[in-house]
Amino acid sequence: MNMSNTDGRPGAEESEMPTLTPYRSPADLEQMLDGRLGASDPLAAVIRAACGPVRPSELSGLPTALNAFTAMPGRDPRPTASNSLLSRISGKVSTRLFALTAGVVATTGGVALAASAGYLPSPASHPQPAPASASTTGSSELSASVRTSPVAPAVPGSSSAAHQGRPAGSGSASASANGPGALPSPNLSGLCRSWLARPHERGQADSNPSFTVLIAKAGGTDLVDGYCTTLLASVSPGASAPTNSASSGAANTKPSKSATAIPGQNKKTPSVS
Amino acid sequence: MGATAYGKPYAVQPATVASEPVSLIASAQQGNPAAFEALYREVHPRLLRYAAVLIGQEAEDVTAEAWLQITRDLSTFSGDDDAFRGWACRIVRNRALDYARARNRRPVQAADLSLLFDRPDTTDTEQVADENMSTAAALALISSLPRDQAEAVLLRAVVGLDSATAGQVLGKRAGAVRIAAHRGLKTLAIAVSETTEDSGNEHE
Repeated sequence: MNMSNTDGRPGAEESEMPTLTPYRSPADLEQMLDGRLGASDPLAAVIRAACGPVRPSELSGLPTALNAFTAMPGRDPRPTASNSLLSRISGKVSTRLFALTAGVVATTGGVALAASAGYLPSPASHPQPAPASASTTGSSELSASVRTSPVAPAVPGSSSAAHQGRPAGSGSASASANGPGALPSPNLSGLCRSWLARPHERGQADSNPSFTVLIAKAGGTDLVDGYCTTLLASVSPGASAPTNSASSGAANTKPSKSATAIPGQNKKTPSVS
Repeated sequence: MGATAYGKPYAVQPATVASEPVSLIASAQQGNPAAFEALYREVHPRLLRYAAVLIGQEAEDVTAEAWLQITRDLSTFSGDDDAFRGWACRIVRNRALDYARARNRRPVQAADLSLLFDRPDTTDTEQVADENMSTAAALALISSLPRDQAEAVLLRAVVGLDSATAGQVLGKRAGAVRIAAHRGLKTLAIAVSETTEDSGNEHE
């Protein structure tokens, strides 16, 4: 690779820029472009900010887009063989969504939550070594499961940090808390609450990939109610462990004022359902 | 302005290929709204930020139109997750250029982007100020770069494309994208250091 060419000008073909003080090597710059951002680097802070949390307003066009999608003639909604593949990942996606919401609600009042929630994840096609950040926050990777993470789940506070996502928070006070977003395991409690909270949508939920994990876990659609009842009974309602929070149902149905900073992504439009 | 036709797959580096996103896209192609929504949530914020740097306040209109086109042409798309983002970016870019041609492009202002990214959707004002002002400010800063550099930085660092895919969006070779992105970062670094010095002086 030419990456180590000196001065970042390998065969420069456009020379509208004057030569600038090269205080970062091309390799450094590539790392930065790949989302490997140093904690205290002010330039990295700009990139990090540009990749900042997804604002609910940024998703305000979702209903319109979704309507257009469903109204498109020629759509064939029949489940097909590839749905099995889809449901695997889609389940993961929505599980992440639920988990994010739940984790966020569980840590109400955490300013840091916004720092970690909803950051645009690093391109998974690029390796993501841990930044030397003081932050132990795993980026929420809200949508990272959609993409091709070579090593998927960002483990919060992972000490190896070899595959940690983009650092959450901008290196300031916001980086002080743990990241509720990076939740590697399915938030079954949240799924259960969502399931139980919407019995009228059950028919739809059956085919909703969001619940695939849950249905599989329960052993069948008919068994989900019982499974969830048992599961939720065993979970303390006040439990605040991000991975096992039982709050996502509440978050979906009643966005908490104090916790809607970023999870408000689910506020205007229902989560995958 | 590279005008490669879309509808055919990108040349994607093997390492980036994985089955999962392809399946998600495939499912959306088969009409699954949940898959489409997941794709939208994944891709749209990136598109919006890219469009914001291209066209400022009209980014929402541009991306909304782009999604209509994406929806319409989704069945013809072939490729993986990276390719999909590249394809979507290309559509956004073409729309944005149409908009820009329709009016004299003026520089994107941070205030414009604030309207897009700094709406008070939360009651936590401190958080809004802290986190999201900086998103708008960062995007405005990037958009102050020469456009080829701004686009290269955005496509690489925010949209998450590799140089080759970004090059297909921009109609450039990967090497040219890399150069533009590096230059953009260097320029940004200088701007940031100047800003830091200025604010430091003001506070002292």
